[in-house]
Amino acid sequence: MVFSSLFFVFFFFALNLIAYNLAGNIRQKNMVLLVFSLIFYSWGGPKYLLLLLSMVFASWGFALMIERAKDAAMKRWYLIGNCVFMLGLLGIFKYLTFFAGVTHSLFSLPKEVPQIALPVGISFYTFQLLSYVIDVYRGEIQAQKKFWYLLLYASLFHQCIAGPIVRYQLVADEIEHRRIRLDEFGQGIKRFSIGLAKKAVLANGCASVADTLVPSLTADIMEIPAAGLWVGILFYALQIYLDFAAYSDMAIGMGLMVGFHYNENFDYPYIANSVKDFWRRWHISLSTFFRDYVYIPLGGNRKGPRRTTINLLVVWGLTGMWHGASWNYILWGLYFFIFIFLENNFLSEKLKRLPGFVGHFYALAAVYFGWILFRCEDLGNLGAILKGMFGLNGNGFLDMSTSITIQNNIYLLIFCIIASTPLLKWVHSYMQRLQELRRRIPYVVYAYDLAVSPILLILSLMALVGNSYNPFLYFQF
Amino acid sequence: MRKEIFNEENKKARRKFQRISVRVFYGMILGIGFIGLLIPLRPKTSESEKRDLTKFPTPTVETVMSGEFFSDISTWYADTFPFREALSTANSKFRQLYGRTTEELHGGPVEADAIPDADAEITATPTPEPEAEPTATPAAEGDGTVHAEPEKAGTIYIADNRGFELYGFSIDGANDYINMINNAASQLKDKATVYDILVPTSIAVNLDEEMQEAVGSSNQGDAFDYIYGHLDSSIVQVPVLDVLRQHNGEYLYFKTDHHWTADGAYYAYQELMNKKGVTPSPLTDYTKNEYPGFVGTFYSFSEKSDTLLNNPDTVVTYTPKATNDMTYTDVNGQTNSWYIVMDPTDYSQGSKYSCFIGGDQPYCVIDNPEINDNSSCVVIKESYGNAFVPFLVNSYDKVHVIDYRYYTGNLIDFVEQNNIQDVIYLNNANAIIQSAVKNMNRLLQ
Repeated sequence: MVFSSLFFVFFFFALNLIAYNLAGNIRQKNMVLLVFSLIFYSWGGPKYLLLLLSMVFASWGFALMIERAKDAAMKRWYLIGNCVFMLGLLGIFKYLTFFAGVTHSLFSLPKEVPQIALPVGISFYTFQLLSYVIDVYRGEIQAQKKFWYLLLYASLFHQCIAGPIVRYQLVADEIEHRRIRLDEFGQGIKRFSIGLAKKAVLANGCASVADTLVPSLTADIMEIPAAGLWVGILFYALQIYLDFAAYSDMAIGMGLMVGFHYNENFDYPYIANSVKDFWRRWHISLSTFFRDYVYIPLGGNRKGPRRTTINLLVVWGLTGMWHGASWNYILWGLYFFIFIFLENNFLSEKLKRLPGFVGHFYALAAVYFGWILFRCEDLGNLGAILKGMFGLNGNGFLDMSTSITIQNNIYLLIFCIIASTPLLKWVHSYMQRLQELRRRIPYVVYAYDLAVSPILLILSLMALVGNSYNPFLYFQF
Repeated sequence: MRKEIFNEENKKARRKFQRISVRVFYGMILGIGFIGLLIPLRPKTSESEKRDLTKFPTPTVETVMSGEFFSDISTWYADTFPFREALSTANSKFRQLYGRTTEELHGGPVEADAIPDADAEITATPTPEPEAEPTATPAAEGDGTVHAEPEKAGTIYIADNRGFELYGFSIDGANDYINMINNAASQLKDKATVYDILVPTSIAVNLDEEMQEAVGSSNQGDAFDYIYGHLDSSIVQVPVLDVLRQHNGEYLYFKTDHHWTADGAYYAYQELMNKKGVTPSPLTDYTKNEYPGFVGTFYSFSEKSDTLLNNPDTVVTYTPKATNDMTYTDVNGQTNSWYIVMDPTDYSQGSKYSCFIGGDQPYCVIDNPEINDNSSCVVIKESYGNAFVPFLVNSYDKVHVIDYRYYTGNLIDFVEQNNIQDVIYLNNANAIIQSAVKNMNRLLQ
């Protein structure tokens, strides 16, 4: 089930709200959340529920064993056991097809490449559970005694299948002790509605333009003039941000409505002034996961420049691979490694001495070309797009159909660019503060807050009725 | 006001608004959710998209285990949501805000092959296997609102308050068509005369050639020249592109639909009669009627462009004074009496073109009571033929019409059994594709 479907919003979520409110105490409320989460997860094929259950069960068991183990060596063995089990399953379900394909093409082994479908959300909940067990090992948190609480944490439909990657320590207390505050519920409504509209209206709108201007077949790409490809990738860059940020918005919003406080996953990545800064703002829960559980344990930057470089290489290779079992994602990760490496060595210093817009422009350019790599699972497309962007496919700069497509969507483009910056948020808080400084109650702002959610819900309903373009991009990861 | 008092009041005001906000949110989610549960409100068909909407899935062990059953429920829920048509129309209006819409383009670039010269040799292509059964079922009886399969949306260019469908030449389609019709002519040798009318679509008639090329549409004149250049000399070619272009100030094509109007078809009828050396029956032999409020296929192909909705077409019909009666056979083999031109006033806004000869029926026949000379013809057509057939009524004793997409019999036997003299192939440019020619070949098996 995807958040951006009418069935989810007006059936599943509506029922969930009713049931949650009917439940008396926190225990019942948690039961409601768990039952709904398991149904939500089974929606993509009940057989994967077994996978989720066994991964939660293993994490629950290993964490308890780690906590009860007498000596450090045993704890360590349990931790290793857990990691082998979890990463082994992730490897089988996510990467086996890919690696078998590679060895098959190199050595004709195995004879037949197994085709394993990716269980939805496995990349997200595997990482959540790993962080839980590692944190228990590190003594940062207590192991959860109750299996079903851990199951609730890992399967909670708000964030189970597309993030943010919520650490157990962040919500450990809230599982049993949480209360809903009116202003937070209000914020939750707004976040949820904004997220839904961001996906249903903006991201889907960008997607259809991006797919027209940058088609999926190499032969079709070869027909598109240069300007079409440049603008098409721009729409894709906006689509992928709005799409993913929308999912996090909705997750955070639904969390607030029941008293959970999830971590922010995006902080306006397109206003970054360096590639490092971009990654502090993009998919924050993933980059901090790799920082805390891979980079720092490997020694971070404390073991000399050579070791730092190797550590970074590992982290960025893994970041790429996390996004998908395909060469382009691995290359995409390594592509960012190069920029981070350069920034660490001299680029950051250089940029500091230049005017601010230079760094911003550099970061956007690096990210922009990165998205081309990200889009092309078929590396033949990559060459076709890059050549076409520089006019080497012989289609000139602009043709009529491209020009019309751009004109038909020019205001959408402008609005999406604005929506990717904190501009609206600034105006909102500026208006509020201006009134409050003058000792006037900011009714305009309150009225806006009141109106915005219903309007966005209606617009999303309109956009989603019979819409064919639906899935969240990050579902495949 | 003192700061503390103000802060207190401000907080109160904010909380008041927030409480309303929470109620509105619950009201909307639960209210719309409740409407979603009202199964009788759910539409079963989409008129603007000309298709049956998704049906509630039937679970099987396999689809339940794979999750397909559940995702089908989600699709069904959204696809048949109450008031879907009104909501999606509202959405199209909202989408007008996405950009400037003096010109619009809906759909991606059209696939097109290069068009060889008229005297170029035909490159060998494999003869496609004819299909045993028709691939689609025709329109529902009479008003033909909904097709079982959605019509395939082409790329629509909208300018000057009207839509055009982009045309992409298919070399395989053209070669198959040439082989098909040459084959028909040789089988019908000494039995009947084969006429071939290739009808351009509106883009070739109403848009100048430079613009056609600029939007990425193939040149239909060149395409027709290529086909006509390879036809057997026994086939009578009836080119109509030039005459339609000469009169393109008239209302020859719909602005919101991919068909031509009866006025456009009348020029083709005149050309056919000129080739036969017969005087065409003048329009005074027909009763003219006008039916406004037609918004055709371009509307849904363009995901409901507001420009088209605001510029509806008028369907002009010419009913032969001699007779308005006909008989058709539907897909189930049932024979029905019907009218050559039906009053489409009560037809829905998207289906008024179905007023001609009962829409797309596999077979129909018209007997002119005023002519009794045993002259007869058979028209092999797709829906472009519908507006054309009424004019033939005044030139033949009997007019037979075969829609090659749905008719299952053999054409040669049919011609022999009915003593038919003229076999008239009428196809629009977009029908010269392999999937369509496959069906035409089926008639010759």
